[in-house]
Amino acid sequence: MKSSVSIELFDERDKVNFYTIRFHGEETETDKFLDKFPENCEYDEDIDIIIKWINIIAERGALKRHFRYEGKLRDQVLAVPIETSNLRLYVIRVSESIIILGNGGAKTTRKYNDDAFLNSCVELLQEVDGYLRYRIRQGTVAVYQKQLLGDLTFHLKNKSDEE
Amino acid sequence: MKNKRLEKRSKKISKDVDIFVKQSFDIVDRIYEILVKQGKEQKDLAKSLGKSESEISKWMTGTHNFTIKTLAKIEVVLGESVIQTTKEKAATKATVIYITPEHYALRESRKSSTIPLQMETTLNKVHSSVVGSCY
Repeated sequence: MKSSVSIELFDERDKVNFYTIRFHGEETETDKFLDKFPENCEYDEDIDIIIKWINIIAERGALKRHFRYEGKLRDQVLAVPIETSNLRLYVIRVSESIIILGNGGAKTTRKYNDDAFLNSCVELLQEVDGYLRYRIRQGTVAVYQKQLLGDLTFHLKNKSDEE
Repeated sequence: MKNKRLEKRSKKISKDVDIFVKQSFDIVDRIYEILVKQGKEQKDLAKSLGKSESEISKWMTGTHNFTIKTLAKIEVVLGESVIQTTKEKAATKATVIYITPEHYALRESRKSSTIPLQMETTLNKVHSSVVGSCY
């Protein structure tokens, strides 16, 4: 069985377009993240930092140095940098003008891959990143300024299919 | 298309977080600007400060809470000012404001002018500081 996900525009700003990922028939991954941390929650200040960080990146551009490396060296999966807590929001940095926001949560283990949920958030982005880069190389998806153009729906491999 | 949820949540950001993140970004942008000007990289800064490159990378994200002591060390190794206090800014502004043709015109006409004594004194002081800063 395969899961279908699409990349869709989440927020369009002056210098950066923020995209997100949606599993067919579900809320977007970023909305799921925001749902978990409503106003006045324990992580209120960290959510404030994340949103302010997004606002500044939107004005100045998504430079590499403003991200925290989380995934593997070969992918573009990064995290919004929060030093004050263990909250993580994972993203794909496609370019200085294109960011795909994912999901995340509070990291309570030393490594993200020791936490099943956070690991699934990072793995989803790694898989989408892999497919996206493949399609860009094949020419079926194009990066034009701050836009992703072309077929942005992907059929992900289900782990149980591989077993 | 602006995301309404993010827009709504942005309005609720506390003032202190708003200032903190903006200033942290301004600081790292300034550090980066100095590094570029000096033909250096983050790893050079790490080496000069005796820190690891990953530590410097954390600083450069835009959400690092710099201490004044860390900033002082950075200013020492870079040999340039990273932050400017309000007092310094005010002094700079005063210098810039008075370098105008009008200022010299006032000085030329001082014998016949009706400028109050206090204002003339201020202008003289500023003029001295401008001349001083030119050298």
